[in-house]
Amino acid sequence: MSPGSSKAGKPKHRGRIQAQGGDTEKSVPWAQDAPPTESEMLEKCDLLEEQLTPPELRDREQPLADLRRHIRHLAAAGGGWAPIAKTFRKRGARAIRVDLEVIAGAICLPDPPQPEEPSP
Amino acid sequence: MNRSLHPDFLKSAQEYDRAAALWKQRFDEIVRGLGQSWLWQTDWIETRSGNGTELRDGNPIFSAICPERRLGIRIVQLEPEADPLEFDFWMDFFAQGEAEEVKELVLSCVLSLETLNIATDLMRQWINDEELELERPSRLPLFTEVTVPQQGYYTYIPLHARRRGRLDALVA
Repeated sequence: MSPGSSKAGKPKHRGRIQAQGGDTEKSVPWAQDAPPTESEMLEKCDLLEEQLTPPELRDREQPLADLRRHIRHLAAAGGGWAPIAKTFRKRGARAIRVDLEVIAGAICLPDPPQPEEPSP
Repeated sequence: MNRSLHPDFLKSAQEYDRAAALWKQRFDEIVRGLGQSWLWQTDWIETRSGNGTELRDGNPIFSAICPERRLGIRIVQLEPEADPLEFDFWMDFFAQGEAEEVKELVLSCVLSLETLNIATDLMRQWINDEELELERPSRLPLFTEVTVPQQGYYTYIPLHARRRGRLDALVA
């Protein structure tokens, strides 16, 4: 069993971001042995945007900005552990939203401290 | 009177905790009345960051899960803007297709007495029936429910909105 894998053989860190509402249901999932970093999570937001049509993207401009802001905030506060379920909505527009789900493991954990070089 | 409760909940930790306590109190009353207190756990969704800080962003402000039934409730409280009765709800699946899958009721609203009462009715239905009966006569004297189904997304229209003519615009 590789380090970081669960006993059931599933990757330890799983989740997805989704754009939902109206006729839209698009997502970027992840399942990996190491928790996605802040930059990896922001890249997933980019990947989700690439799936959206221009109208879908226009509708979700604010929710996506709110999601990115949350990812940065979480990274600065030590990351986040499952279960996480966050909804970022376009207010005044029914159902238009972007969701963050962390199903297992963590996201945006701080980088581990680098071991000090031994003095010569 | 459509006054928001704890409108500064995102600016004051004390106000936030009071709003969160209000939701929990209402939920506890529901499950106690239905004899299901022992089945449900609150604080289902993690609201702290990795360094232990409470995020206090209202997203969610309250959550609960019944592990046995794989059923959940999540409430997102919004900062008051133009409409103190802003209220939306939908059904969704957390971790759909995974072993951790939970069928959840999500409520997204500004907190007021009216929205709290609507939320209470919906939560009670969800906990008792695992579904929402959207065209039943309302037990709430101030409201009548009219649904505008849109692929699983429903909006609860309060009576005062119907009087103002918003209903026709929403149904169109």
